[in-house]
Amino acid sequence: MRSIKVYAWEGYTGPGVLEEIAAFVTSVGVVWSLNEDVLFHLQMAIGEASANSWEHSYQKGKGRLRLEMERHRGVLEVRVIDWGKPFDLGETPAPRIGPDLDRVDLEGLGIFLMRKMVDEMTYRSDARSGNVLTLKKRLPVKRD
Amino acid sequence: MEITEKAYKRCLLLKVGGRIDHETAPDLEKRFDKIFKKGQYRLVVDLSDTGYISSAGLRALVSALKKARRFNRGDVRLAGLSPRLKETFQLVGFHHIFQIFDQVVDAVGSF
Repeated sequence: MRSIKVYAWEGYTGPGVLEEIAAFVTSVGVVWSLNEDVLFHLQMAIGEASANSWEHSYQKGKGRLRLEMERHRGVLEVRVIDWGKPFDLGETPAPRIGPDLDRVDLEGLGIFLMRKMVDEMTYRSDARSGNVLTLKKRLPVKRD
Repeated sequence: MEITEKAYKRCLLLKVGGRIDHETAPDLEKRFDKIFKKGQYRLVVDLSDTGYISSAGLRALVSALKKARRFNRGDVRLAGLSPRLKETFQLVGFHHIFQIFDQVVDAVGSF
């Protein structure tokens, strides 16, 4: 069976970490020769997920954060893992955005963006594995 | 994130470069508040050098728009978005609430 290489970044939430994670994602994108659209979508989704861990799981404090990226046939799988306070994806409201500025409510915008940028998003939380947000992005089919 | 300002007769041009993420968005909000305190409520935000904007950055823009429009009859207009930023703004429906211009000169001239 062919083994799958997992690219991983691990560190602690804090100043400069979001930019460091973005640089890591870019470097993996270069190794995988991802096209710019796919890389941009991944950056958006992973950026939101990492910020979510910092803001919600660790309440803007210091906490362990791990990012794993692997490539299967035609699909990229990314796991953003923290060991902070779990959150319920299902409870997040959808943002309300329309021409009436008074009615605009951006709560849930980060989750909304993540859902739009990837094809699949799942979340599980347990004491041993931590809070694991899994993002899957299908790669565009190459046409010769 | 780097922010520079240039005053025009009818508006203030704010050029934001780099990343507007959850760490840097509060600095952008503070800059907007500082500008509003000076009585300037007509702004053009040039995003041509902005490579990334997170939901926190998008919130900062909407917050500024609300403050400018609702209380002070001003406006925050956007310009110079890259195709990918434009895609993001359309995805979240920001084209419904912001006036977005391809060229900075057109945004400045719109006031």
